[in-house]
Amino acid sequence: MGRDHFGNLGRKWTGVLALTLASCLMASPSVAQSDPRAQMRIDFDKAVKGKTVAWVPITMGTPIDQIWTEVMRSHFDKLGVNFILRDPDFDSNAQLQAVTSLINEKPDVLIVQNINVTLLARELKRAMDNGIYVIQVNMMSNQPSDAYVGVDNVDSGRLIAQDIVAECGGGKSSGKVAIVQGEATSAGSLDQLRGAMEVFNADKSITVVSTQAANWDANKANEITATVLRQHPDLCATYGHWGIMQQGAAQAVKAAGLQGKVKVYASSDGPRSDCDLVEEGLFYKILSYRADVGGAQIVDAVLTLLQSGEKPGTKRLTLLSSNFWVTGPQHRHYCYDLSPTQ
Amino acid sequence: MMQAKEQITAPLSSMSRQDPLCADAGGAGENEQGAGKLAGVSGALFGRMNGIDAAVPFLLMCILFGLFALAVPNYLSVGNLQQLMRDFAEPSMVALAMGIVIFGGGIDLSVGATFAIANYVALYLFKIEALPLGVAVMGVLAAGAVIGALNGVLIAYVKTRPFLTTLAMLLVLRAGHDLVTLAHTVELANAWRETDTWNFLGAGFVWGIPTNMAALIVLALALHVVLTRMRFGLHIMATGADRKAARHAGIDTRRVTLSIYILSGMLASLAGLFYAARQSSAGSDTGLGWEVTALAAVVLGGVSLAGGRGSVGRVLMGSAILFLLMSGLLRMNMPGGASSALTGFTLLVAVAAHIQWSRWRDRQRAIGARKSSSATLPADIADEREQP
Repeated sequence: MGRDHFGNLGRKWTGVLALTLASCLMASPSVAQSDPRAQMRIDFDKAVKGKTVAWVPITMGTPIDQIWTEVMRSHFDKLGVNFILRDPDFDSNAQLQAVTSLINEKPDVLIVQNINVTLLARELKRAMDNGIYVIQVNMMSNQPSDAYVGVDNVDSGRLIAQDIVAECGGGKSSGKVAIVQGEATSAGSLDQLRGAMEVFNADKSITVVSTQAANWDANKANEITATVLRQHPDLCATYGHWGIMQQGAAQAVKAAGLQGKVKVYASSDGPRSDCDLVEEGLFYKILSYRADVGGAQIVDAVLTLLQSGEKPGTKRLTLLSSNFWVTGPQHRHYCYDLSPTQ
Repeated sequence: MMQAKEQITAPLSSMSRQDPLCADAGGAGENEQGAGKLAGVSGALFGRMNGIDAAVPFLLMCILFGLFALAVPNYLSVGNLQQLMRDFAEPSMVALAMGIVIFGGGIDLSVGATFAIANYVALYLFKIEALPLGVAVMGVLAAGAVIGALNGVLIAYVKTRPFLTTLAMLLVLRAGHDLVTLAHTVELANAWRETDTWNFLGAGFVWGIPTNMAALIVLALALHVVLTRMRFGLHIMATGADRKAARHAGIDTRRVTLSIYILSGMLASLAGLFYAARQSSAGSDTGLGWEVTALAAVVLGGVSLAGGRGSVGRVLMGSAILFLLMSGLLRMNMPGGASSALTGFTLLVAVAAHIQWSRWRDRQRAIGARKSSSATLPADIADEREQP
């Protein structure tokens, strides 16, 4: 009897315990809702997880696009974001096709690196009108979008030109400067040229003897610089709008036997090869930013937009990359290395 | 029109040569020659062979379209089909510009550069000079006609080789394009002028069909009628098939050659106009390599590079195959380099298959013609043709 009593009591307590546990379990979401730390992650996942991000670079054949893609992919994989890459391989027509087809596929975010300022302008507006967030990286089009992530190209041009004036101006040298543009109709070239010319035009001791477009091609930069050096062997400086391209100009200066006499400047995105050339003395100075950090900034912009709740096309977000002068081995850490698989 | 066809057919057939002009018309021409029962049999055989010629690219085009429709989500949606048509139109116009010259026995490697110049001229006249659209259109077409006329005069009257002449023109135009775009970079980058008609050319629709595609359809139909039903078209095909025979038949082959290059320049420039209205982009890579794409489209369509054989439909089928392949691979997230390599490989296979098939067909034709006329035929009927 006594055993029965205790047995009944035990069953009763077990039932109470089970009920308590069940109510605790059922109540757990409300507990999470009242816990701001837990709620933060829940809201984040709700806004981000399962979303689709599409990325259209200019070409995957350059270190900058490879490092951006590597950083974006690694972040988005961890966060459960679908990541689509469309590589137009330096073909403006293919880039336009890639963007137009993606608009029909309706990703949540579209990231583009514009080949020039006009090509995608109409399509980027159409993308935002179709409810797609648009992020432009490093080279903007004439159509502003939800976010711009990258370098301030006008400021880069201004900074490099100011350094060239300090080195070549005021009668210290011939004052002759050659500019090697990338794709002349791209924001990267147009804006750097604008910033640089503001400074050069303001100093009468500087003469810009050549502004030619090498279309981001190191071979063409080499040919252009070799010709300029034949015409102006007393050239003081050459300034290229992209490090990889300007490597061709540096080789032309070396081949002409003018290494150390002609100062080779470049605006760089920080690949290891650019830093190596600075250390070898082929580049005099480069104004660099870290593209791997830029890749993380792009991810931040995506996450910000996805959580913003704003309608695409209504706000403008700008995340600028920081510039650093690289003048020697002491600045090696401003350059990045690609992973061995790239 | 039939009179015109007979006028050409009679003297050509009297030269104991298989008439590629008639053979290309689906074998009907052979029956018109009325060379007896054997000729009728051989005509039917050639008709079947030409049918196969056209069926292979058509099937390939359908297979590719089907494959991508299965592999790519929303491929058959109205929006996507409209976008495909819009992207397809301009490269196809350039392919037609190449095709018309190849029909006439030449080659035009400057079509891509002409397209780029036309794109620049359209942007310059309309956006920078702010001229009325009608004037800009006339200017663009005139630019294309002048470039084509330069090619045509050199090839037809100065007797330069088409390949080298148009290659030199390509280099000159490319350099010129780089110079003028660099000179107006800032203006082109900041030019915002747009009108409803300009937007209609670039982004409008005609009964649900993109404007540039509607223009391509009209152009293709008109060209088809000219090539198959009009004296001028028959003269082009006859000149391409055998220049010497065409000259003996009384055709002014020099004028025909000049005309096809002018027509080619105008077609390429029209493509440039639509491209300018659609993209407003004067990038340095505009039209870069389009001559290769156009040539590839012509070959994939089964058009003979020796001239005198082919049709507008085949050029468009070849262009569609190439376009579907390239855009489909891009949509399947294929890396850019791999996509180009696969396209190049497809072209290689197509060229090899085309050559083997043409040899076999020509051999069969030679045997058939020998039986029908009992006359001696050279083993390789392409020997005497003027190669581009």
